[in-house]
Amino acid sequence: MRAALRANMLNMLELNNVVKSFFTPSPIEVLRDVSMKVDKGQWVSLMGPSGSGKSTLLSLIAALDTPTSGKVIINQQDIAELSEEERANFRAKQLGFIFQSFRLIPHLNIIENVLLPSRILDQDPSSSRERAKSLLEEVGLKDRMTHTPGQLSGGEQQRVAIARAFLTKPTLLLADEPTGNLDEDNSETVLNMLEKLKTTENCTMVVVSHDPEVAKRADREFVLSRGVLNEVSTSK
Amino acid sequence: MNDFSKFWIVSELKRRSVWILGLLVTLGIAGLVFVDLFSQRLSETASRDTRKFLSADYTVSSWEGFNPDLLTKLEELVPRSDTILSQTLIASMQAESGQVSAISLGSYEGAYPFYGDWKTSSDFKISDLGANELFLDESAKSKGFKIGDQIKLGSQLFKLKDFVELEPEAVSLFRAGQFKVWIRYDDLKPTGLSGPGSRVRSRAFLKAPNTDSKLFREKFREVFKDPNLRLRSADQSNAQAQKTVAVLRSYLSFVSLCATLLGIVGLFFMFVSDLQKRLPSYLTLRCLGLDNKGLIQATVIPVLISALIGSTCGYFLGSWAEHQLSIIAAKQLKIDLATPYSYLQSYGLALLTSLLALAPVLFFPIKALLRTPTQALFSSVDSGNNLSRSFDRPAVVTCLVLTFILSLITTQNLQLSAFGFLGVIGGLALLSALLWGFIKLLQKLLSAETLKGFSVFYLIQSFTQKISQTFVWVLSISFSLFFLSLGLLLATSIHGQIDKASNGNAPNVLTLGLTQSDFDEHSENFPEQTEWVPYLQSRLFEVDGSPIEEVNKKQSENIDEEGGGPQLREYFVNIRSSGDLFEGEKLSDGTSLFGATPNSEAGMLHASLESKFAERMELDEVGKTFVLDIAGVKLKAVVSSLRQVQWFQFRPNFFIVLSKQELEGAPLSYTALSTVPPDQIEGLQEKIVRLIPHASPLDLTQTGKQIQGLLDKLLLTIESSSLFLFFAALLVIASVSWAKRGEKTSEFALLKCLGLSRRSLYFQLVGEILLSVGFAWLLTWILVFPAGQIMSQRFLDADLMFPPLNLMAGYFFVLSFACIAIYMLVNQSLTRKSAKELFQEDSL
Repeated sequence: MRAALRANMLNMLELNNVVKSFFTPSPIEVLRDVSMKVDKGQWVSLMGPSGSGKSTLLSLIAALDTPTSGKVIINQQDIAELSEEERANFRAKQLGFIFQSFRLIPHLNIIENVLLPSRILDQDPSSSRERAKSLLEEVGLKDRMTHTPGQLSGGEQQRVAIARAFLTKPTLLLADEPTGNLDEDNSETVLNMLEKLKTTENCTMVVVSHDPEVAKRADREFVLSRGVLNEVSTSK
Repeated sequence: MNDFSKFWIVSELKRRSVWILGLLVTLGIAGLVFVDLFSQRLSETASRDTRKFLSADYTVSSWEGFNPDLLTKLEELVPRSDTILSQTLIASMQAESGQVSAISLGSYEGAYPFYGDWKTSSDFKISDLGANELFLDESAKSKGFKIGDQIKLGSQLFKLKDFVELEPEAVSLFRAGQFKVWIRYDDLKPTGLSGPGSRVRSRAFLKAPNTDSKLFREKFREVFKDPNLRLRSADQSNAQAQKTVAVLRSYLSFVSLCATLLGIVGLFFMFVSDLQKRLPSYLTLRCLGLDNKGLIQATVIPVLISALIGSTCGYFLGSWAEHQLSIIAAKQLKIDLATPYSYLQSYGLALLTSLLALAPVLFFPIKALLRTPTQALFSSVDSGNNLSRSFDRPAVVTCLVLTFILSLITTQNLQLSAFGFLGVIGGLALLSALLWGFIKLLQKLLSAETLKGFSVFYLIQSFTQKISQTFVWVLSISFSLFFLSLGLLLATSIHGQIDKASNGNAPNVLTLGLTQSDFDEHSENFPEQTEWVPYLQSRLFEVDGSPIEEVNKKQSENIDEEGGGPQLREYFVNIRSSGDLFEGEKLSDGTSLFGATPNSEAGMLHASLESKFAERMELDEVGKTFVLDIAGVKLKAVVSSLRQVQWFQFRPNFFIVLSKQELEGAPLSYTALSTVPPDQIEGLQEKIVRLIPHASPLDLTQTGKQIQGLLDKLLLTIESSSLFLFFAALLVIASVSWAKRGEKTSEFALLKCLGLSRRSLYFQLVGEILLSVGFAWLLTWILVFPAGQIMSQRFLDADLMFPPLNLMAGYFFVLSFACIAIYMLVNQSLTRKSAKELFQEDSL
């Protein structure tokens, strides 16, 4: 029974001895022998000083880049084995993104922004639309569907970004400083939403942040320093 | 200027973007200087020949009339150095080698100085000819003549000494004749060609800039007392040339104006983009204590230095390019192009243009910069967005006003500048309205719900929602493509008309100078397919009840005395036996050619007038009357119809047509239009000249080719100058792409995160560009056809003909390629840097 359960709870994310180096202008090793295993449904916090390699690590997990050596395995799939097209498809189906600067498309309205991932996957428009409306209701922006990002505040824009991230029911959500551009109240709201949606959508989350409040809510906390990853403590 | 400013300016001058701006100024100014100098050169060339130029055309029917004293007598009237006498004997000649050709024989006795040293490009001098030697025009080489050939002229053998390539200056002096052969004056009589019965045309070209024409005419008639002698002013052709040059100069100025406007817009985008990017740096400087004055110095001075150097480099580049073109043009067209009147003025214009152009480019954004609060540094959103764009509209208005001012300085013509300015505004407004309509239609037809698939949806959304970018792209492409397309359209129409006129069934030999006796005696010797066109010489005396002098006063200041110059007095009048119209004619007023008119009196001639001529003469209404002198008899005529004539038909047509029935018994002259197989043209010419030595048979196919050649060169000039505008449009596209590239990179980075592959992103990008180019192309042709039709009717008297579809499509593909290439060049790392773009740290 336990073995069966364990089998079901396979690692969602696995980094095995990942090394990432850049060779211009001179050789530099950004990530050194990074290893990490994240279970399905866990919220992982990643912290570290500027220049420690957090963005590089996030790029590898996001399948936007491949390691110099080592393996990045997401949902049993080794990213390096995928072609560029396959990685793109993988991102569309499996991953969700939340950025510090929200990254909404300024010339699309809110519902169109949220629907972008489903359009890329060519999913059924009507069911996608229903889901988008439901997510916007969750984040409290159902009445602002036809507004453009420019007409929303920072907090509202981030909530739209959250709705978009969860549209295709990703198995892994990556958030880069999701509260970095928000005030305390908005940060609180955003974090509450993330927590709620993580539970209801059964999603694994990796959140990069300097915010201690973010770290508090995480199941596990890692620190990246000079390319070396260490787990700090289990927050919960 | 303090130390910090100097330091900052020096460091700014090391930045690539400052020098890219300078390079763009260089290219823009080079183009402007090129157009300015070339326009000056054209105007100078055209105006140079408007010195008063009279020709005495003296046609006699016997050798005795060949008056060697003509020149001496003329010396009484004008200084010798201002006179060129040419005497032409129309004859035929046969070379020993068997080549036969009908060529006009000319004996030149000229003054530069007198009897002498008429220079050509081969340093030919008339005094170089020995006895029984001749020079041939170089075009005779194609007829197989070689140096050393023995050529028989009449009963004398001449040795071909050399071929002559005429110098442009000399060409311009021989307006009426085509001199193919040169022999010494003394050798002419022994040939026997100049015996009784020969037709001699004696022509004196008199440059009399300071001579009172009226006084001159009176003295001339006093001296010569010969009714055969006609005095003409050459001003008419000069006026026409000036008009053509004025039109061309206006066109070039207009294109230059549009290009300047586009250039300013492009520079504006670039500068604003650069400023936005560096906003945090400038705000930081403020934090550290730099005041507004220091901030202005820091931003403006490096740009001004770069622009000053750019303008100077641009000036030299433009003037060098223009000089090279003028050398090529002079050689190709055998025209002596004048020197532009002021290089210094052109340099001044270059500097003034860059300063004026930079004024709105710098003023508004820097004003916005100074207003940006320093606290923006600490804002939670990207501080680069804090540079207010509220200056966009005032900047656009300022750009337009500046362009008008620049146009005024360049053209020195308020009417032209105002017309050009309004044309630009009108064109922009019309294009904008059409584009707006298209976008709204697209949005209505293709709503977000109806669009299937991501690519099409995103493409349409980007095109219809990113309004400012769409407008800038489409309008700048349309603007530049408009002139290129118009040139292509007009070229196609002209070529089409000429080809139609020179097709297999069209007449290809035109014989001039035939008399009634020639017709009576020799008409059966002409080919079966020959049309005989009779005409009479006439003089106008009265127009619609007013003496001709009053009409003259209204028409032009350059009209010669004695009741008006030849262009308003002496006309060949076509005599037609039927009321049928020629090919290429159509009635614009009146029911038939010689139809009855309400106020015609008994004995009045019925006349059909060419419509534009009628307009000039104020006879543009059926029923108006005028008085003609025909063979010494004054006759009253009434306008019974007006005709529109397509002059591309390459057949003689006449301003005035009269009915033969009403002029029975009048002494007629003829032209003959013959159609023969092309390989028989030369033979026919030879035959005609042998039978009728004074006739001039012309190969119309050669004429058509010559005209086509000249028009091709003219159109090439127009298309080349339109390219200048095209490059300005590409500059705008590059600038907008540069300005938006940060936004574009973010957008593409996000799309990549959401699952689009790099290939999909490139397809998306290419799709956006093709859509913009496609719309611009479509809008352009919608406007070009009506514009082309108007121009074709107005200036060419020709119908519009559609250019080949492959050429039209070619413009689309070339433009698309250029736009895609520029875009990729500006956004080289569009997809590569996407990951770094998204995540805030670790930029390596």
